[in-house]
Amino acid sequence: MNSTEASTTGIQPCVRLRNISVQFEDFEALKDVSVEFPLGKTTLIMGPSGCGKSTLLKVAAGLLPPDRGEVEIAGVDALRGRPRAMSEMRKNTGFVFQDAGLWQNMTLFDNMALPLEFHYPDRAESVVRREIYAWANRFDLSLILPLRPSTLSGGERKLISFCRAMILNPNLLFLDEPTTFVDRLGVERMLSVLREKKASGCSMIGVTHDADLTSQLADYILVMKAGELREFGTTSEVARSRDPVVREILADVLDEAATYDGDILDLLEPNGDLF
Amino acid sequence: MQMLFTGFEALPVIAVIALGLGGIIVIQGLSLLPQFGQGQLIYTILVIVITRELGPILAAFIVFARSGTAITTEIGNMVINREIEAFIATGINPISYLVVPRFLGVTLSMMLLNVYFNVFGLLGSFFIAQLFQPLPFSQYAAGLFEAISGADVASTMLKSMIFGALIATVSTFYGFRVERSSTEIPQNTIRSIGVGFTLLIVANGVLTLVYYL
Amino acid sequence: MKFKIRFARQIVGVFVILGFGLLLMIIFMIGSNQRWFARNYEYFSEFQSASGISQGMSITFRGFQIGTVTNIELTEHNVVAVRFHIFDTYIDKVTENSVMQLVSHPLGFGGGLVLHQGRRRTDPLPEGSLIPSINSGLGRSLVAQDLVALPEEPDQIEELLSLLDPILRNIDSVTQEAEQLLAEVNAVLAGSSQGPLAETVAAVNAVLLELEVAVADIGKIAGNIEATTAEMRDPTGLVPRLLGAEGSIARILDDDEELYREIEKILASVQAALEDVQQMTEYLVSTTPQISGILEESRQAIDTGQEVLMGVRNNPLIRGGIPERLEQPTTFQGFRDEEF
Repeated sequence: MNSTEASTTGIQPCVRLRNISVQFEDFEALKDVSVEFPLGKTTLIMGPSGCGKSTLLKVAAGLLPPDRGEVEIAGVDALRGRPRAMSEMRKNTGFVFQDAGLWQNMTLFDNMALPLEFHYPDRAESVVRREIYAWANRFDLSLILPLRPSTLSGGERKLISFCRAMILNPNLLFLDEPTTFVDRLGVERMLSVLREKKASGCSMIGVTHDADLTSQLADYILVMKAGELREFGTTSEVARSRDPVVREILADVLDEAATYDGDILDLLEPNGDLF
Repeated sequence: MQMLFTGFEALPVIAVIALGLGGIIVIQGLSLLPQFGQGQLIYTILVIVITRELGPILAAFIVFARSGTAITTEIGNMVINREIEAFIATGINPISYLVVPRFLGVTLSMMLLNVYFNVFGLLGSFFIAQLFQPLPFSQYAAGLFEAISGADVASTMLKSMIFGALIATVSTFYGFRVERSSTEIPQNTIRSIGVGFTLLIVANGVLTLVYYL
Repeated sequence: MKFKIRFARQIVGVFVILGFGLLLMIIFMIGSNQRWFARNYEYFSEFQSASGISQGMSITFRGFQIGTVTNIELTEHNVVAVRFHIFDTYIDKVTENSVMQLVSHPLGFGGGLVLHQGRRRTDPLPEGSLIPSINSGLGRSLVAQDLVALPEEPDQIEELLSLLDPILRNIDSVTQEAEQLLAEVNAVLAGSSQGPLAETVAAVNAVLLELEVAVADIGKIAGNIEATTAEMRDPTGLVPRLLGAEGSIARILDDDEELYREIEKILASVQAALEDVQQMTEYLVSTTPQISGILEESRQAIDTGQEVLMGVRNNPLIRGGIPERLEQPTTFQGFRDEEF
């Protein structure tokens, strides 16, 4: 087993992972991965299903404590950091969950309001309300805000989850397949938001199968296979990689994404039908 | 909200059980005790059984069966739905955000339910006694308040407080033990009931011992 | 939204407030029942031994609990210092010269420290002062000077005697009735009374009087007959004439002595009647002393019994000699004793 190490020398990392290993019972999801995600850039993680992409993302976001290794997010030790430093770090990060991860017993409005209320307790309710409706209006979601997550379609949930991640105006975003289940219009709007964030210098780390997302946002691409890091470099570097495994994966993933994502699923689950 | 579900909605069950228990004690006591010329002992027995022993533990069992399992399931589901991770990602400590209100709610509900259990149990026994042997309420109250002591009240409230804390801790702990699969939720719920009931009985024994020491 | 969810706060609020209200009420009722809020006054006493005294023991005064023992400790002078509270409602009972006495109940429970009030009515003793034990030197001297109001000890003998009292009273009344009866009989015999017996006796008297008159009459008749007989013997007198063969008497008498026999018969029957009366009178006279003797004797016996019982009551020697009868609570008291 090779210990793969990838680093973008000379560029300051937003997230630094060292010798990360994660074990799920008998299955080794991550095998001694070390990686430094560059600050202010967008890094997309790719690989076949079950290779540990989401696991890596969660470890990088500090949501999943690894069995071995060290995690440093924005200069804070995510495993042993002091609560105040952690809270400050969280204030500036956002995470879009693969399966939305909305709080089921709260309305969508409350789902979006809670992070604001928690991190900015002094902010007036009217200000909070205005911010939430501003984000919801961008995605045509303001009408469903009083509902609870269980009544929504997957796409709507995903968009709300996206809005919730955006509401704190983070400078570090974790995106776990943000576009799955979302219709084309939603993806368009999401992409425009992400482009704005990228332009404002926000670091992004994402897992995606979406070709549009990749082509429009990716600065760096990280290719994984079977819990190991296969290739890590700028988009052009990776695209020109001679490693047949990397090429295969890249082609597969992007083709797959082009086939499965977007249209077909959105046709099956038209936007707002449950409303 | 936690108190609504844990406390208020458990009230009818508590009331029925308390009334029944008080009634049974009085019926049995009235048929047996006067034969020994110890009719007065009925109050002491009522206080010991309802206030000091069975009140807290029965209320705890009911609360555990109702709310403890609900909490375990709820938190387990939140883990599966990535809601816990969402809390962490937002920077909200899931322990303080989820456990503390449940802990306080269950503990407070437990204490209040214990008060209600006692009121129903002791009043219920009065009404049952009324069916067999009418006696004025003032006499009943005098006998009862003669038998009950401040230590009894302190003991029962302490017990219910500890039981409430125990229930909240055990059920949230087992809720968070769920990791990935939704099949873990019922498993953990079952485990939490087993462990919780055992702990409740052990705690009751220890507290009773402490009371008499 | 469901009613419960919408009014969750209100429902929970009512639930919580009511619960705490009930708890406070229970605590308050216990408190007022067990005197948590009343002020207690602390005093102390000294005993030779702590045996029989325990913490929490009640202090009683004429059967009422007026306080509790709070603390017992052995001082360096090997005296047992007993600290106790007196409830404020009874503080006026703790007067000067009061003493404490340890009364042990024969069965081991229900005993306690008993307060005996000083005889003089004074203000309550200042808090923290010593109330001597009745067996201590000070206590003894107080009792000896008769400064302490010691109640009659409510012991078993007393109870026994109190049970005897009604019996004695019954005997008394019986005696009185007997005396009355005797007086009645005496009065009857003296003739100065009324009632059936008296009437009988009076009637007998009257009969006797009448008899006397009758006897006197008979005497006169007999005198007349004698005179008649004497005249009959006078041949020259009226009688011979009368009795002459042609005389009317002769004719009356000339009936083969029929008249004479008639008279004789009358006299015999009169005599028999007199004998009967005499017999009756003799019987009455002989029985009266017997009845009065019997009555007199029984009265004396009762008087003696009364005296003996009085002696038993008053004699401390005999009293101590009677074994104490312990009141054993029966295990079965029956349904009428149930308290519930």
